[in-house]
Amino acid sequence: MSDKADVWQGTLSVMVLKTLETLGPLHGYGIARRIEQTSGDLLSVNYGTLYPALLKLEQEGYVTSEWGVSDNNRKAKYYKLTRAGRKQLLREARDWEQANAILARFLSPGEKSS
Amino acid sequence: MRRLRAWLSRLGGLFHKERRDLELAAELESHLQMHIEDNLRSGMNSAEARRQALIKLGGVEQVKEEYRERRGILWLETLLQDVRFGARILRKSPGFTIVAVLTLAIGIGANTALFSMVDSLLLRPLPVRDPERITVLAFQQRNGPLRSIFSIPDYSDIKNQTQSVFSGLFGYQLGLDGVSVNGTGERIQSAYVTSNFFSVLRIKPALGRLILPSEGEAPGTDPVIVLSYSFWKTRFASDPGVVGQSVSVNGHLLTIIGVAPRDFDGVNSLVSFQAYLPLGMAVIGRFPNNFMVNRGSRSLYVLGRLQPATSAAKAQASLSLVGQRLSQQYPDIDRDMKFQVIPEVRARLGPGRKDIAPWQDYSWAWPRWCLCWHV
Repeated sequence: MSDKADVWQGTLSVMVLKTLETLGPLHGYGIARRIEQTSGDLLSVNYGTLYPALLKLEQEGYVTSEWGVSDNNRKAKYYKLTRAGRKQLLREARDWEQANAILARFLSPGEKSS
Repeated sequence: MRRLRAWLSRLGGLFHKERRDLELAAELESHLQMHIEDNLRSGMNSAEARRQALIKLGGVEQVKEEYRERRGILWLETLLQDVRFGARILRKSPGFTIVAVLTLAIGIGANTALFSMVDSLLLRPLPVRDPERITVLAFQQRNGPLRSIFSIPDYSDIKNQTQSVFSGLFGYQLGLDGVSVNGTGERIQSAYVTSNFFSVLRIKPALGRLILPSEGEAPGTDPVIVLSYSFWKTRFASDPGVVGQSVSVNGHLLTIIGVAPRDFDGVNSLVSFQAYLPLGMAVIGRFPNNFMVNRGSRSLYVLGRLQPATSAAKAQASLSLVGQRLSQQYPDIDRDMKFQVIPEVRARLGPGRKDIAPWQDYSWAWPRWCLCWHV
């Protein structure tokens, strides 16, 4: 649990931003389900941790929230990506790609020094 | 910038807590309901659907707690609670509150008053250029008390023989003179100063000019007067036209030549000077006509500005020699003359008071000590 959880905490905000970019305004439950599906259940999801993360993103100005009505006619709080959030997503995505590229080169076989 | 924004938002999170709590509760409730509906659709019974939804969420209360931590600033919230609690207790017992507040107010007030007195008396340097180089001269004869007034012939001899250690030796005599301004008389604290008084202190006038090094060398010459800033302000209503006017001092007409700077009220910590006159004019005060040549008539306070690279110890050594010479030359008056050089701040309660020196060294700790003592 703990190894997976660390990754979850670190990447959660990127996943939330990406989800909102892909699907548009969405409520917390929807974001949680979407992340769970996309990550192929690899990450053990604790839905509750999503809400502090959403609050943090809102405090930083990357998302805004507004009460609305769901498909099933239920009241729900909808989160929406802001312009700053879009930029932040690009930045984080680039960072991740860079980190991945470096790690991939580092871990790839056939470059042993002997 | 992002971080600042987040912090401001968290500060804002300290207010309207009830409303925000309700909003989070509603959001979590709507989350659970949606999840339960999904679970029912996938075939669970209602109890199981609710249970699974709650497990997935990870405990409503934990989420709320985590959320609150992120929303506000926990320690600040606790502090605010303490403050509110304290205020409530104080309101409940007004008698205790009044006594405590009064005690603190009087205590702080007394401390402030005492400290500002101590500050001006013992700690604050003279408002002159390089005040730490100003020293006070004192002497002792045999085992007599340490004294700080010199005769003018002795002063002249010391001055002539210590030019290598003092860039200037100067002095003043205290006077109490009757001044008549616009027909009303008043007694003022004056200083009869040696002609180099202002030039060695390196003071610039607020108005007009100060006493020149050429003035006041002989008795009765140069009937001029320099006003202190506060005397000028209170008695002459800060009139810039006073320069050149005549004023009567002990029945003699003197010309006002200038006003000393605002923050300067002399070099005597116990007495504020209201006016400065050339030393020679002391004959219009209570001083006898021969006061400038009588070696036995001691009335001049003497200070010196140390040469730039000279230590007080070196000045002391030089003065000791002068003392021996004077003792031999004038054994009937200056027998066993031993001079001392004391930094100006150390001589403020009288040249012999060395016991306050350690207190002055820890001057930065004064207000703190006062408060500690008080609390």
